[in-house]
Amino acid sequence: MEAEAGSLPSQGAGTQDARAEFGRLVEAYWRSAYRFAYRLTGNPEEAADLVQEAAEEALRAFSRFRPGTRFDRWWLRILYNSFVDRTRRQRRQSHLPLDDLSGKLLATESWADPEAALEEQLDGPVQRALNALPPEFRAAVILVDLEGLSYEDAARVLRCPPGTVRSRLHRGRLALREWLRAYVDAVRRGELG
Amino acid sequence: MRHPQDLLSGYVDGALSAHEAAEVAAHLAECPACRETVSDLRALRRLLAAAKPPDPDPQLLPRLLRTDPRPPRPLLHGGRWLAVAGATALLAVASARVSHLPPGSGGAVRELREHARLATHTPLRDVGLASFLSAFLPDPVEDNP
Repeated sequence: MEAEAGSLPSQGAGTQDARAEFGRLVEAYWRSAYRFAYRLTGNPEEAADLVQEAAEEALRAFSRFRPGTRFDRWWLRILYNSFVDRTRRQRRQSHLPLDDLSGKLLATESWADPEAALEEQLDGPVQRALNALPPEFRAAVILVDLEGLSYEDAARVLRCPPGTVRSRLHRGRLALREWLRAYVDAVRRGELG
Repeated sequence: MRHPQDLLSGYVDGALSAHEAAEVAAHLAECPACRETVSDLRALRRLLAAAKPPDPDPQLLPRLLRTDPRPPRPLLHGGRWLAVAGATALLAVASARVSHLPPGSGGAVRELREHARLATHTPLRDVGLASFLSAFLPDPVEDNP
C-alpha cells in the first residue's frame, strides 16, 4: 500500500479521468485514513464520518494535488485538519493533564489487570489511554508509533517542525507509559507484545 | 550531560544524528534512570504496535467512492438578520471587486455574477452564501506538503 501515486491525466483529459484517479487513490489508502481517524476519535462512527469529510475536502482540492507526491500523506493532512476543526467546534476537553501520571482517572476494574491483556484485548486500554492525551500529542503518537511515519512525514501531516513532533511524541509517550504501566511491564517481562 | 529528555525518544526511534546518538549513549552508560526510561519507551512502542484497531465498516469504501466534492464550509452561524446583513455587505464588496478587475477579466466577472446570482436566490441558505463567499475567501485546504 506504499506505492507512489500514479500520474494524473494531462490537462484537458477531463474531470472524469481525474475522478477515476481519485477513486483509485482512495481505494488504495482508505484503510490507513480510517485507522488514523479511529485512533484520533476513538469511535468507529465518528471515524467513518471524519474519513468521509476528509474525502470530500480532498476531492474538492484534488486539482492542487501534485502527482508524484504521496497522496496518503496529503489526505492524512486534510483529515487531521478536519479533526482539529471538529475538536475546536466541540470544545471537548476530556483529555488528562500530561503531568497527571497517576492514571487514576483512567482506571477501571479491568484496567490494570495484565492477566487480561491478551493481545486481541489490547485495543480497548490502548485506545482509552490515547483518548486521554491532548489531541496534538495523541496525533504525534498515532502517526509515529502506530502508523510508522518518520518525524519528517508526521511533521508534514501535523504542520509543525520535526522537533515539535519529537517533543510531543516524547511527552505523550511518558504519559502513556504511566497510564499503561501494567501493560508496559508485561511487555518488558516478555509476557505481552 | 543533563537528562536528554526528548532525545531519548529520538534515540529509541533511531532518529538522531550520529553526534546526538553518541551523546545519548554516553549519558545512558552513566544514568540508570534514563536507561529505565529507554527500556520503557521500547516496551511501549511494542505495546502500541500490537494493538489492532477494529476493521472499518465495509460500507465505508463504497460511500467514499461516491464522494461529492465538499461544498465550502458554512461560515455564518448567526440568525436570519445577520445572514441578510452579511449577504448585503458582501454583495456590495462584490460590486466593488468587479469594478476594480483589470480589463480582460470577463471570465472572473461571469463567475462572480454567477455566485452573486446564487447568493441572491437563496441568501439565507448556507449553500448560497458559502458559494458566494468562496469567490473571495482563501481556501482552507493548502497545497501539498
